Amino acid sequence: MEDNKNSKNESRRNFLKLGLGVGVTSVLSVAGANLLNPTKLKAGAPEKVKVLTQDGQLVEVDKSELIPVSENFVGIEESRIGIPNRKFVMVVDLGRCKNARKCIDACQEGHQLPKDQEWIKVYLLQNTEQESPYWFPRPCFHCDNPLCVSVCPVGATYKRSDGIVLVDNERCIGCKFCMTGCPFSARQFHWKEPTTYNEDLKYSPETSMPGKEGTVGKCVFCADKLREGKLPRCVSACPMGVLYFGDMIEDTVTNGEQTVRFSELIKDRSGYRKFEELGTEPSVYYLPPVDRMFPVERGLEGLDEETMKRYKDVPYIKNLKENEKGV
Amino acid sequence: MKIEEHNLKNLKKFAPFLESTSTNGWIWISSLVLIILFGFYAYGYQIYEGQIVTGMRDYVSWSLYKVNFIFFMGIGLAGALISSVLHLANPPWKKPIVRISELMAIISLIIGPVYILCDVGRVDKLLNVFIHARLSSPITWDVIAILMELIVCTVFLYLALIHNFAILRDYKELKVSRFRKWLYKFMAINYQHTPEQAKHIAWSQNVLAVLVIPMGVIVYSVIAWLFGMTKQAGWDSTIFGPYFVISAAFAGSAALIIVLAAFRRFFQLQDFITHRHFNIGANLLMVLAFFYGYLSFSEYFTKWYGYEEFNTELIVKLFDFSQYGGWFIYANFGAMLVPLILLGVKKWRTITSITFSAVVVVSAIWVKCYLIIIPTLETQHMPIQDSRPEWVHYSPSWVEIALTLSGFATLCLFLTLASKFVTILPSGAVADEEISKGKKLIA
Amino acid sequence: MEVKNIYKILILLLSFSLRISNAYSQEDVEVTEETTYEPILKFSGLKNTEGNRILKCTILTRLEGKWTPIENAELTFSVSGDSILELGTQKSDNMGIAVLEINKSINIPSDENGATTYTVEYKGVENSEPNSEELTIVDVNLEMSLEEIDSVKTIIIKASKKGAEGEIVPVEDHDVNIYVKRLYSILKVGQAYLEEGTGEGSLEYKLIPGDSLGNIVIIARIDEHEEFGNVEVRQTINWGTPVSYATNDIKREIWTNEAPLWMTITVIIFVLGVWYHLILVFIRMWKIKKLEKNTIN
Repeated sequence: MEDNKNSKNESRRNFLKLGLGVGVTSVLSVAGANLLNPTKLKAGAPEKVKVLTQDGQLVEVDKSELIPVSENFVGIEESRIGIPNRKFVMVVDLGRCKNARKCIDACQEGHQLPKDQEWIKVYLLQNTEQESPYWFPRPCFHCDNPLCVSVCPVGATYKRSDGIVLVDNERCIGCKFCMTGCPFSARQFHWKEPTTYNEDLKYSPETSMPGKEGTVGKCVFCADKLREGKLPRCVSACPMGVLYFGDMIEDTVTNGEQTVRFSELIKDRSGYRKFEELGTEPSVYYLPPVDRMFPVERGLEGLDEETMKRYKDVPYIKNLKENEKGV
Repeated sequence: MKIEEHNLKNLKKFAPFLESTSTNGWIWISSLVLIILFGFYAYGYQIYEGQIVTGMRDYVSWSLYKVNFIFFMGIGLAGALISSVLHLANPPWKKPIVRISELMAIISLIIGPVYILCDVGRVDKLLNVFIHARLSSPITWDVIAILMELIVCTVFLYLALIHNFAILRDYKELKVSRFRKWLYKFMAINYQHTPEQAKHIAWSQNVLAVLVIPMGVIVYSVIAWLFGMTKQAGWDSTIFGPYFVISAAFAGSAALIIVLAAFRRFFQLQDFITHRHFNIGANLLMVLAFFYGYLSFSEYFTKWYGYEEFNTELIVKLFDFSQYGGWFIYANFGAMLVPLILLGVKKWRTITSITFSAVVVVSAIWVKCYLIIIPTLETQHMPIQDSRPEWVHYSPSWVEIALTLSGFATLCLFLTLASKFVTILPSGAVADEEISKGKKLIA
Repeated sequence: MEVKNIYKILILLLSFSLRISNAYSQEDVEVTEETTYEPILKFSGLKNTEGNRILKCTILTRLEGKWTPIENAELTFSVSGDSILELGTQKSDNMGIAVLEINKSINIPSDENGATTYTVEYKGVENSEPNSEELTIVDVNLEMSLEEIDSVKTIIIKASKKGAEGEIVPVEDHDVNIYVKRLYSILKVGQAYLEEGTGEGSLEYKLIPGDSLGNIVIIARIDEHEEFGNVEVRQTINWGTPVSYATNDIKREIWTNEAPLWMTITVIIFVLGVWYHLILVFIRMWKIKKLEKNTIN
């Protein structure tokens, strides 16, 4: 066992160095830390990407190994200052979501999260039995009145001028008050030392990588990407264009394909915020699930068993099962 | 300093306890130490493996540790309140029980915050609470208030002990080690019981006794606000401050009755701690049971009546016998009705029944703390979905149970050790009958 | 800076030495040699506001039923006509995209209709087939002027191309899309119709938020035209409404770093009050100690 571990580590290190070499000569670095990760292997066949190496070989590598070397690394102190003159906002079109879970995958890959951490979750909500159920993606709401920030005893979590709420896990004492304070259950705890992170990552609250045992992690709106002028990972990964992202000051949101004025979108399609009555003023808006692109059942197709289990207590699913039995 | 006659009598009675420990005593102490050592092992294991070894997960992120924290803090603060009220009111019967209640208070106040060390994910970063303190956070209020309360209570207890240390120092026949003698001397700070010294002590005690009462209320309210300041269905309640204070006083008085009964039995204090003390305790329990029942009723009644979505969800869980229903009945009705009924009927009111109802009350309040924390966290605003099914419901792991037991073992151990270090009755404590004798003489 | 360079060189050397020792390949990267890939090329062109021509090619291949980009593929761009003029070679990035920018000063040959045919070629490797793609574009000159006509902010567009004898011919009966530049994308605000005869069109400008100074980038663009490709012009103007993000409701802002004043004062009173009394008690205790000494002396 011990030997096995060592050899794994060794080859990982070798590959890392190679990765850095490629990174210098091309734009991209191929870092192989995740390839041997047991949790990754367990999760089944990872998505492969074709890469042409410099010696003219076309090879397949795990998609998660393609980690762009961030040109503008932002340190702990700098990341407390927001991107100037921005106020980020997300709009979720509930009529389009079919629980494809690409946002979750992209997020987990991009942030090298352990498989049991999802910073964006997809809920199957049904307001009343008479109303129809719908899929409800929930990232961190980056509230303008964030209770999680209010209750933090050490200022480890903070809200920036651009509206993003981040966690500095170098300062976090792990009291979990923010987790009980967040009414949207958006925060997650590193219950054990995470093993999914690259060893050579330098910590930045903007990426929240690498995670640290005993501290809290959550969706960061991909603050690192935003700094590069790119959309958050979940937004660009969504095949249905469910997620719109943009700047409230510019009054524009985009899902990568369609660009619309935020205020008009919210006005025309009766956008709302979840639990407005709680007064946290989320930065994430929802468009009601009307004019559906898919029936809600579509979201259950192709789910693996583990994921399916996660919805087993949802009243709608329970009813479905009972009906099946009845027939 | 000449030792007064009644103190000498006490000393002779208690000297054997201070000088040596019986076989049974050793068994008792070592079994407690074993439990505590196991707790240390569990803690080390948790530090090494991370909090994955606890039953806590992303939804129920506070658990037994927080339950024990509020429980021990409650008992401690109630003990402190009772001793300071007794000190200020100065009833003739207070002497035999005041030392015990002070010890219980200070020990519980020390144990309580230790659970925070268990609960926090990064103990190594704990100093950040001072370095990066944010005054807006209830945790910061807690840290400030608890630290101050601990200091004030320690000084308060110490002031009461000075005379005792002086007596022990001057009691030449006491067969204890040289170090112990030196320690008594050191702790007695040259106290000679001169009128002026006695005056200083009395003045200081009065000041601190007055201070302890509002501080106790503040500290426990702040602890309640750890919960009350959030938006969780079970916690977001305006009466949480007073509710917690009353519950704490209730559990604290009951705990004191249990401790008194234990000391009475093992130290043969029947002459000192009499039926009269228990009677007073029973009256106190009944009054507090009424208040507790009243506050519990208004808390759940308003939640139940309004049909608010999340409250309803929680209430259903608490009322459901397949979930928390039984415990809910025990924690709310048991704690209120057992003392009211059992102690309300004169015929039934014996020391045994009083102690029994105290045990019911203490355990019920512990369950109550559990019911306040765990079902609430299992009832989030967002329904718990798209998360590992096994993460949804909480059940404590052996680590948490071991550390919980260690807390109670520590309370017992420290009380035992304290009774081996100082006489468990303060100077001037006399048997109850002597008080009545004195009264008769005056009459 | 220099240290950084040395570091880079070291890493480069290291990576080469590793490649020689072949310490990685089999275990880490699965080399699939048995299948031969047939990549496709998506080729498009854009004439930007500086008049430079940008050629963009995306290389994709079918893998397990999905189009997957090929990284680091060498793509050669050229202009075909009477003779082949090679423009340059670019490597594709991780999205399989290779971009070549041709400066407007470079004279690109065109036929009598003003059309130029560009070619992109992928030579292929061992397990991948070669491929090439052509793109024919007629060079269009797009002009935009921003004017206030009778205090109405107006965007005026004019498009023209070269005729057979080198004369300038207006581009007619065609829509030009008008966008404003946003953080992650461009927002369409309307269309300008190029009138017959003049090749001119205009659009009334509607108020739209700009940056904090009210600056806004207006883009006129012919999108994916089969004849003209993509052509755009950009211009920055102070037409945007300056927006400041501020909400009107009274904020208690308990989440900021500084606690409310009343809270700070309360805590200070509490702490000082308790310590004041504690110190009084400590003084008394000190007196007790001293008193005894006095009585002895």
